[in-house]
Amino acid sequence: MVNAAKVLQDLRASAERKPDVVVRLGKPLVENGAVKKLDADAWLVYEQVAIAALDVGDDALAQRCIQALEQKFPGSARVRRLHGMKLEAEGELIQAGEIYKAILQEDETNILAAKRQVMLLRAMGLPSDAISALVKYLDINYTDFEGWLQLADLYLEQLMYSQAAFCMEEVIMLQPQNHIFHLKYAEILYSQQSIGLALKQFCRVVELCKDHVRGLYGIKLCTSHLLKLSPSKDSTATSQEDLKAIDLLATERLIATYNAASSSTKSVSTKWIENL
Amino acid sequence: MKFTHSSYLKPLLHAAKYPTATVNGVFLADKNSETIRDAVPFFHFWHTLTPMLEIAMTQVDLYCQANGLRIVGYYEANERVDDEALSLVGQKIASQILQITPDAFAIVIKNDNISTDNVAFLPYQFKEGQWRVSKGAFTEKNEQFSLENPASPSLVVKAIQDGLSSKLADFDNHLENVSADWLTNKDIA
Repeated sequence: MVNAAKVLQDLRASAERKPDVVVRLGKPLVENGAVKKLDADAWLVYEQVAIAALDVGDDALAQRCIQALEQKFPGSARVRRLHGMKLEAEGELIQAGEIYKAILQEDETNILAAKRQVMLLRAMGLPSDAISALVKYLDINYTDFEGWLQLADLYLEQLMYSQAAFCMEEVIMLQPQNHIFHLKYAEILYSQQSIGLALKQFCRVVELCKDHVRGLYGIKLCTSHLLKLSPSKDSTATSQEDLKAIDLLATERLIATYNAASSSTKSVSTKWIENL
Repeated sequence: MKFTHSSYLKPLLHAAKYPTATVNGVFLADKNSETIRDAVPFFHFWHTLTPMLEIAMTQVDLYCQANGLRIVGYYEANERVDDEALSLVGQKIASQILQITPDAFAIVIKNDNISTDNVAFLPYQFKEGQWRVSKGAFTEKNEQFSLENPASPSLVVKAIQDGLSSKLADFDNHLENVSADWLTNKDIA
């Protein structure tokens, strides 16, 4: 029981979404009442288990957790949000929207409700409404990089690449060391044909994370495109010699990675890498 | 178009492995046949960006050339459970396949049917200038779209319950760990 509580705590700290694990560990705690022995942590566990239960469709368990929280914190916005999420899980999207709206009327800055409202609009298949709600939210909470990421995804679904690229620039300003964000930015730049800029971002990915396969593939793709073009007159562009050197290096690292792993798809991959 | 069990199984395992994401991939057929031999899963990370898609497509093409196969179709399972529309990106990719394969098709996975005995494939064909749902597919008399093994849907339910989806690898997985076999998924077939 101590171990289960510890695992749940670690999952809360890392914000990992592993609903099956949370329900497997948390359900016995809630059902045999052991959760109450956790003192202040008990309410966090109730909240965590409630959300996981909604994820896996265990409505009875979710209801039990939410009820316990409602008794302890009557009228709390945080608990009302959970209630809204339960309605969402049951498909009562409009009623759920009413709850979030009410919370936001009382307190414009309620982050949890504002985020749920965006996701609700997305779930209802109203991407442009979701975008405007999220833009409004980011006007106030402009340091929320997850919000910017979400906005980038919403734009990408509409294939609005330059708006998505702008969002990723905000994300990278807030989180400059995370190579995944550089990767996503690089792929967006490539998708909108900014291949020279994409190359620089793919290089940044490999710089932050050594031998990053996806980054190396991205580099290969960019250099092969750029080498096929006539040399650019733009002085900020990478020179032909540098492009060839980068290309060679990426090829070498990719082949080395495939040789080190016992990859059954090696023949196809190496053929691609060497003949591009 | 007749789907072998493996070509029906893999897209559904892909969707089951990543229930909260959009997943996609392609179908392969024998060179001179209407039988859909296999499916190759592509992405679950993000599906709207083109660089890794270009690489996946050309690598699958190399694989097809070496094994007497051809790319004939595209599949996707949408993030939202009740969304059965072919996405903007899906239409673009399917149209690309159409340029080399005149009988190309697209499949949107009916998420609600994955864990039932009903067929979970919704086929789209390019007609009168746009991608349209192909009516009456997978019914008894339909010759355009059928399953080689009528028991496939119930076998998939069992496979998902047995946790087989965790063994499926897509191209995103392969880029994180190059020993993941996204082209053949030997552990599954």
